[in-house]
Amino acid sequence: MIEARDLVKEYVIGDTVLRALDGVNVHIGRGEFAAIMGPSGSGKSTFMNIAGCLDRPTSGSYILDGTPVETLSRDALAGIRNRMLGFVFQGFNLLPRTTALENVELPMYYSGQEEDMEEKAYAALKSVGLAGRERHFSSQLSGGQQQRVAIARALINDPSVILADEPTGNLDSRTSVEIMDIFTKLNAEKGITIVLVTHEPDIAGFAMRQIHFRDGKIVSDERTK
Amino acid sequence: MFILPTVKIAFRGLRVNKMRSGLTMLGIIIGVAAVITMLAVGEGAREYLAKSIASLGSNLILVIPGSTTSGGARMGTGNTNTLVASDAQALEGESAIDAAAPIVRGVGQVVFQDRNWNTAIMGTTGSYEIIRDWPVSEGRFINRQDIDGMTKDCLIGTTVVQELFGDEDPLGRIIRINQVPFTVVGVLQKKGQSLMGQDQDDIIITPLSTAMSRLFGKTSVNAIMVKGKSDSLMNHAVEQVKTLLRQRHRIPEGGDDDFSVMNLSEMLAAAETQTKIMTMLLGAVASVSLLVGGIGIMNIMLVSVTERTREIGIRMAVGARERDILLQFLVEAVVLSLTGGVIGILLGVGFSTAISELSRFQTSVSLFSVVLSFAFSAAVGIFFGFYPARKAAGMDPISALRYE
Repeated sequence: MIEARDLVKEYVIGDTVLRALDGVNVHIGRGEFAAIMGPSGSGKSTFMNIAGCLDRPTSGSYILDGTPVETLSRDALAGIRNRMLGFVFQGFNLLPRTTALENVELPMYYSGQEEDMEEKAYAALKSVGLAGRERHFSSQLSGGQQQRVAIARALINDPSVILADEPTGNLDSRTSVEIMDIFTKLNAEKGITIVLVTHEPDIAGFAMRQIHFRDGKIVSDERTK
Repeated sequence: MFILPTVKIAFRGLRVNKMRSGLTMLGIIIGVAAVITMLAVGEGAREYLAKSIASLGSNLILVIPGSTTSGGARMGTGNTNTLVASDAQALEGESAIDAAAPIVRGVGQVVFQDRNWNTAIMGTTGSYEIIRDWPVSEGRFINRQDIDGMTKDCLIGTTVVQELFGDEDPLGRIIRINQVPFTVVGVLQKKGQSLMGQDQDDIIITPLSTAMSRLFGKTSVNAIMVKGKSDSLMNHAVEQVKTLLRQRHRIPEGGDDDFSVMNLSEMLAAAETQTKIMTMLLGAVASVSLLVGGIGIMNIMLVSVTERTREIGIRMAVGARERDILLQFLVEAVVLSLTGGVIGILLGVGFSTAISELSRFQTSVSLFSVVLSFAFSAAVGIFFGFYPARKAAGMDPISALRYE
């Protein structure tokens, strides 16, 4: 599903070249639930950006579902993000002053759907346990609830991969477990590939596979379940 | 199928920021309202003028006695006695002249039974009907027999009918003008206000000869109104009037005219042109405020794009393409300017109506100015919205997402 070959990403900051990814090779298969771990600056976020088609590698190739992504145009990447990928962020990244329902509907606007948008969004919110909160503004929801809205939004276009960047970073431990249960369920019941970035071992423990990054390289890759 | 959701998103974006959207629109509202009002004032003045010109009659030349300069000393016009009735008769024989009517004017107290009224009295000939294009609505106009026989027949204007007769039929009734009894033989059609705002229907017309000898005791006339044969012959007609009158008045070569000739139609046409220019000028000044409103839109959209960087990042992350973002911000700008435009049009129409209600200024909102303002505000939205929208669409999704 997700395949990286000699992935290199360099940032130029002033005169110095910062190598954020230094030859990453990894393959995450369909239906896997992988946790990416590592200290800050290890390159895991850069890897997630490339995996999420938000950024392009400096060299090497990234193949998503058989398509070498680095050759695609900006618009084509947007299309992939819209239909194949779902994002869940640490800071939730919901639109402010917008209801939960409208937040969830957002990806459908860009996929050109017009019918049943509201019903679908209702269903998605219900599936993450937020029935009855559809008309609440994101600011009126707790952190856990906001993250559920974000998950519902990530799910709305039936993606094959969900990329979660520290999804529990802003949540207390009880809520974190609830959120992780949702991911586990999505992985088990719908077969959605989940790539999760975290630095908390407890959270990583929900995954089937743990990949450790350090200095832009993968230092360990082990199956835990 | 593509634009509708974008419009929805844009409306939502504007609703979320009501105060700011309102203030931004205010610039356009004021601009459009100003354009509409100014054009309405100008157009009103032009229409008023055009109506006055129509009511005066076409191809008109006015001849009045006296000249602007006389033997080096400047004299007032109209207070010498050089024009006589036979001058008019002679003028009618000229090739470029259609008709010429001598006129004597005065005021008189008119009495009918127990009612009386003070009105303008004018003595003239049958040519006046043609020249002013002012027929009677009832009865007949003054004719040859009236002039030759010095009859005591008269025509009365609608205002006089109202004041003296009310609902009664004035035809055939005897009224007394300055104690002299006259028979009403005709009622003039309603003419309305003159260019100077006078009621043209407050008038009594009598045969020239009767007015001169019985009412005013005059031997000369106050003016001669001349109608040229056609629009293109007007300059020729003016020349003929001058030549003939100089000849008849025996003015030697090089001597000053003892009369003045004014081409009224030309003067009015010039006034109309001036009004048009004034309208355009007013509109141009007002459209500057529209432009300023447009810059206001650009300003706010730029602030909005920066402030909503994160939102743009989120939208890109969930699959918005460049053109989705571009269109969203462009549509927001256009919605702002068009909504402002529509409110401005309504306000401008309101102002124009208020102006004509509250003052004597006549205003007229033309469809053209409404369409123009609407199109202009749309153009302002697109023009000033494009740069900020372009900026938003060109953002890098990652830095947009990480933007604090």
